[in-house]
Amino acid sequence: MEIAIIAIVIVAVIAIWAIATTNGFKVAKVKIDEARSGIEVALTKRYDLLTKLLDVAKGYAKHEKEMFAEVIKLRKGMSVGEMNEAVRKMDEMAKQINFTAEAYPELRSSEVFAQLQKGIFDAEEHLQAARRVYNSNVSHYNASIVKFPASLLAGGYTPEMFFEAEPSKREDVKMSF
Amino acid sequence: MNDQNAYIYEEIRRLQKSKRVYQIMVGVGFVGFFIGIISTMIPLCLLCFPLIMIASFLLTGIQRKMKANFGASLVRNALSKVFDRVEYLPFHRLPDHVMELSEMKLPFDVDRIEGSDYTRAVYHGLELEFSDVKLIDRRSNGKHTSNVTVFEGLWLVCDFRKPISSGILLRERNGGSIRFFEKLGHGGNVIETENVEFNKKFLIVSEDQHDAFYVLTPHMMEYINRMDEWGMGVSYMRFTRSGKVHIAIHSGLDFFELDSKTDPAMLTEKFLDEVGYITGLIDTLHLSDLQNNS
Repeated sequence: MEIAIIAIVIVAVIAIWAIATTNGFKVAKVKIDEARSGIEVALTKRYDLLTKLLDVAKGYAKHEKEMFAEVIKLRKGMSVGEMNEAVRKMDEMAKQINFTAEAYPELRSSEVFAQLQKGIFDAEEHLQAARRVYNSNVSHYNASIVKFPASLLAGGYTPEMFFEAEPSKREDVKMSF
Repeated sequence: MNDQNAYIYEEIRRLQKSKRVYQIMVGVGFVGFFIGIISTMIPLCLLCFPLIMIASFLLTGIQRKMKANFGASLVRNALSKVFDRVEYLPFHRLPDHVMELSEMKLPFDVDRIEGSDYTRAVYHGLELEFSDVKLIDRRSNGKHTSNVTVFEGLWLVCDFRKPISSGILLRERNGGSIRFFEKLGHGGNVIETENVEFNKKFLIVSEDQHDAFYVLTPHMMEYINRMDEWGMGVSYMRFTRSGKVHIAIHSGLDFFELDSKTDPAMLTEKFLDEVGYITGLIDTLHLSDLQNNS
């Protein structure tokens, strides 16, 4: 009888642990999806502002033929690779606009241009934050599915890809504790 | 040195002398009182007790007079050299509605708030308010009740121009506390950043992970770490939805006080050093850069 009770308790503990662990994986996955949609929102905002900035720049620099016609496609449910590519293209677009603005002082001094640049700066900060949230959640999830004994239940779960940091944002921040 | 300063210094010296005399009277009174108790000389006790009371009363009065009549003007001068639009009230502290104490979720109970040297000013375009603050917890063990100072130091509220939808709390981790229990009672989620060292040093609580990462950029984490070292105490911070940052540093420091030892001619230097401590906090956090970018 005692052995049966002990066995039932052990099975119950294992069952509770298994449920909690698999729920943990699911919650981590949901958090990753939320973080991914956070990146999409930040990307869309940045793209909208960049497009407006481009229109303003075109108004001043009508003769610039190289004014970036690269098409950036954004859609819901993009993969990490697609989002990385969109970020790269937007960085290129921002660089070109700034390069053009260097040659047009009236454009640089325009209030609309300044406002939009501030907006883009803020959107980039939100994008950075969204990206770090995503990577943090991915890191937590990836670690949780390989750790023993939880890894025994992680058969259907595969590691997620990290969102790459753009080279300019990779600079180390010196921390001294 | 102009005539006005010469007069102020002379008056401060005179009051410092009186202050020393009253301090000695209090000391003598205490010694006499204890000798009276030990040797059961009741007349000595009866003589010393009023001496202690009168000297303490005079001492408090002279400290107030020194601060109100002369200290305040020197402090105002020091503040005006660094800040714009200075408003200084030596006997006031930060108002309750500015401190929003309940929102700070401090890890101790507070029954009484004391403070002094309320200052409101503008620094590099940033509006700020600060004062000395002392938080007192009344503790009782059934027989005795005692007042325990749980926080003593500077409380600074400054503009922080990064709009966020939920507040963010930061406080230095208590070395002995267990992380599981830290998660309770904050009204938010404990946030772990990618910076393991920062997570070890600070407990971060926010309802929104994105907001926390938006404010706590890698650079900001480094600035906070430097600010914490500069502050020389236990740091508590809160970033609010209304665009302010609260910085409370439990350092035991009491600013803008006139002691009886410092040469009056050196007081302005002393106050400027203390103002430098406050601006150092803002500068290490690069808050004015943030203002310029926003």
